[in-house]
Amino acid sequence: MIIDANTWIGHWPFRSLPKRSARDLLEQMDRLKISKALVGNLNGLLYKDVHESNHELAAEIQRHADRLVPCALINPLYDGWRDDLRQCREKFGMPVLRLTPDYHGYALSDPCASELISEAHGLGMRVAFYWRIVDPRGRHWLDPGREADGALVEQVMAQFPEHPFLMLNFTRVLSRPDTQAPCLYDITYFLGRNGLLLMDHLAAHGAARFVLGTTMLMRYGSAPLLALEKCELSSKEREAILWRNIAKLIPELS
Amino acid sequence: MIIDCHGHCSIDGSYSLSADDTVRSLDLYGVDQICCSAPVTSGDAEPGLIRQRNDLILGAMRKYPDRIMGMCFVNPGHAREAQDEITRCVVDNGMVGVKLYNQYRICDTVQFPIIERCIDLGVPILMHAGYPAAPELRALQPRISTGMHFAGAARRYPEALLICAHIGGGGDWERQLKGLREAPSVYVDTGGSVIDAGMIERCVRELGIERILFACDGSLERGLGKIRDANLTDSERASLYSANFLKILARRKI
Repeated sequence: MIIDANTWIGHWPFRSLPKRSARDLLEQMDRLKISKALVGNLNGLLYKDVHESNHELAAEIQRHADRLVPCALINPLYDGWRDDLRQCREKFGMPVLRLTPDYHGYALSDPCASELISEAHGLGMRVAFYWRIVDPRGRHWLDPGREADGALVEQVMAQFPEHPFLMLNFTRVLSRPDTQAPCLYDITYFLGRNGLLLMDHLAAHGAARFVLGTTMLMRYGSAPLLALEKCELSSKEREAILWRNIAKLIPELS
Repeated sequence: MIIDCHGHCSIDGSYSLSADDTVRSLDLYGVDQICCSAPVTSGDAEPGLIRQRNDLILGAMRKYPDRIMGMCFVNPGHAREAQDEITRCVVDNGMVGVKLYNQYRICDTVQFPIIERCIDLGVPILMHAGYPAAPELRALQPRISTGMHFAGAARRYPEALLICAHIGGGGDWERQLKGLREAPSVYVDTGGSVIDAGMIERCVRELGIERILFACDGSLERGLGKIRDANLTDSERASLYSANFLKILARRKI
């Protein structure tokens, strides 16, 4: 079994994506033998009323609930966000909230960020931080996205010591005291040095800290799977990264 | 057969991966050969340092003659020494081409003697290239070559074997393709860490498969992954993986 912790459907406004729909994503997943995926809707990054993208996502994947598990996008500066978040959890069954503060006009240091995280935890949701949505070297001039400040992310996480977070598109493992719940990192950006970089990170942090993430449909999906295939791992470690770690964090994926 | 036409290594690991680790990676990922260089990418690219760097490649070539090919790095700003280094590395010691970095643009007049020498020898020039989208990143490489610069050089020297490096090297690759469309004699390599969905198909659509060369530039997993995922025919994949580059190598006159 393989579970992808980091996929998107929808329209990316700054570049034409060749594939955008749930059906497209499922085709790619089939090709790569991925059973299930956490999926977000790119449309929600720039809508004024972000919650419309959650409605769209729920409708789009309704017929594929056995394979696609939706992730919510919420703007805590927009009126009614608490009701929207509750609807995401209770009506749409979304177990994960993805934070994309640059696109919604707030900072992780703002009180509203902590309020949003706290509210999501109160609803039994897991929260995902993004290091970045796109590589800054190729960023569109109107794209508000920037790389997250690692120290700031650590500060925000420290406010919720008992909660594990999902860390997406990060390039390094942030420090977190051993007494706090460990976070899971997707391996998307732990690639390089002809495959040796991932091996180094796995040796340093252990397989229990990583999950598979491809970032499809924004990017090609094979690279992290290929890197993982070439790593010297026990079958138990490989299974942990491919699906067990994320399934344990998000029971809806089991 | 798979040839990575853009890689970096050194005999002792003092620059990028060691030759041993490089060949270990090639074996792991099923790549037959790699073409390596060791350019000076910051500071003063002075002749003494350049000779040292090229010696690192020559050592790797001697240890693994069937696996590692070399590209001779030169700084055209040191005109006489650059010509001497081409003689030493390409003519006398079997390197297969010349590597240029961002000390000058490919269309600058200081490059003309280098290009003319390579035409005489029938060897390719692989040049660092890209269009960093953010102004602050562009400022770090004021003389980096874009597709338009390659078009300028190709208009003057249509018989030159120019390779625009790493379309996935970070930056606005779509913009690079616009310039390269105007330069029908210029090749592009697929290397770099960027694995944006649709990138390879766009290269083929805009430039034609015969102008695309397989490369990884340090990330075999990403390099191979994007070619696996791209919507290509078997014939196109074979051209890209090695046939196009072998045709270039066959034009060597010495």
